[in-house]
Amino acid sequence: VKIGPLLAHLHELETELAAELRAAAERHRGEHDVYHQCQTFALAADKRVQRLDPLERCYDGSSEWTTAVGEGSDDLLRELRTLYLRAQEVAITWTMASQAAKALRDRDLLTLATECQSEPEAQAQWFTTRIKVAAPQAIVLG
Amino acid sequence: VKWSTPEECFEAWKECTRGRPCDYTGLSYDKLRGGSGIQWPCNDERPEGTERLYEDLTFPTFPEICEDYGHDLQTGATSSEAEFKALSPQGRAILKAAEWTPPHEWARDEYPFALTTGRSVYHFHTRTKTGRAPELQAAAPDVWVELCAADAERLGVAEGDVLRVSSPRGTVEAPARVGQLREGVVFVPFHYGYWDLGDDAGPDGRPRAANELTMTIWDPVSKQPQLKTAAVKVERVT
Repeated sequence: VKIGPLLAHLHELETELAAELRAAAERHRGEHDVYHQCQTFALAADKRVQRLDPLERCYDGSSEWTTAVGEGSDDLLRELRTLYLRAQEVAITWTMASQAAKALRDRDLLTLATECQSEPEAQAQWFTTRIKVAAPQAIVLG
Repeated sequence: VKWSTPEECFEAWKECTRGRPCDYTGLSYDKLRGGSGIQWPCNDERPEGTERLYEDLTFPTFPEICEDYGHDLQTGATSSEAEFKALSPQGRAILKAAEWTPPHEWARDEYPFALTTGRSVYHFHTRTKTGRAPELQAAAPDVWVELCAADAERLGVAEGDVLRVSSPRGTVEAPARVGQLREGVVFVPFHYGYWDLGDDAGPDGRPRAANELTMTIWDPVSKQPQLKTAAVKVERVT
């Protein structure tokens, strides 16, 4: 069973996210909405850690939920998660290109960027679907 | 660009509204000079404007005509076309709720008072018009700081004493008024700046602009500046 390590991993992720949000807020103090929104999001992450805490203690989280790909019963799950994140990275970067295309009034680039954005988004949804299939077995029985 | 005068510009802008929810193609400079309070839509169909919107209980929530697909009230994140269509409002109104969230700055520790800013009945905004009307200017000539009797007593402040109100961003110095506020709240009207104080007021003059105390942040959807809450400390100067 890897639910303990997974919860410990979530704890770590949330803590890192809160720290990154606060660091980004400080770096972009001049962008007032970014500053305040990141601070608000960081507080929300803190609260999620607090809510996780009692449940985390129900499961043994002493072993690490490794994110490295290549071994273990949950290897596929980790691989799928990495690909999901990559697909989202590609989609949001196409979004940037499509906004720039609008500013440049470049119709060809806009058409390309709009279509190319929706593809990785749909693929990310497939990864979500496949992760849902794989997660129970890999985490509970793995 | 096909326009060069203000009225031509107005005509061009009117065209942008044709067929839209706030259609005012029926307006003209003559109509605007003739009366007041013409409410959109004002078009061929309703040349005198429309006093009451949505009388037939049909709202502009059809995906083809709505002005945008809406936002998350908490963050201002925009909804996508697909999300809006899935909601399928089809002319029904959309009511949105948002959780209460604390203000960006709480009154505590070093800054124990909640500042709120507002108006005097005698002035409009920064008084660029009302400050030039002698009667109005005489009725409310300068800034003040209002606090409740309990706080005044606690700080040893009497009506007319000069107070310094400071936030992490700035300071206002003004005479105290004891009024009917909640405990822990101070009020400063935002009408008073520096335009009418002459050269000698300069940066060394007594700071009196309430919005030097407030934060630079706005509502994520409407972009309305959040000028109504800030944490401040209050000290007696004289």
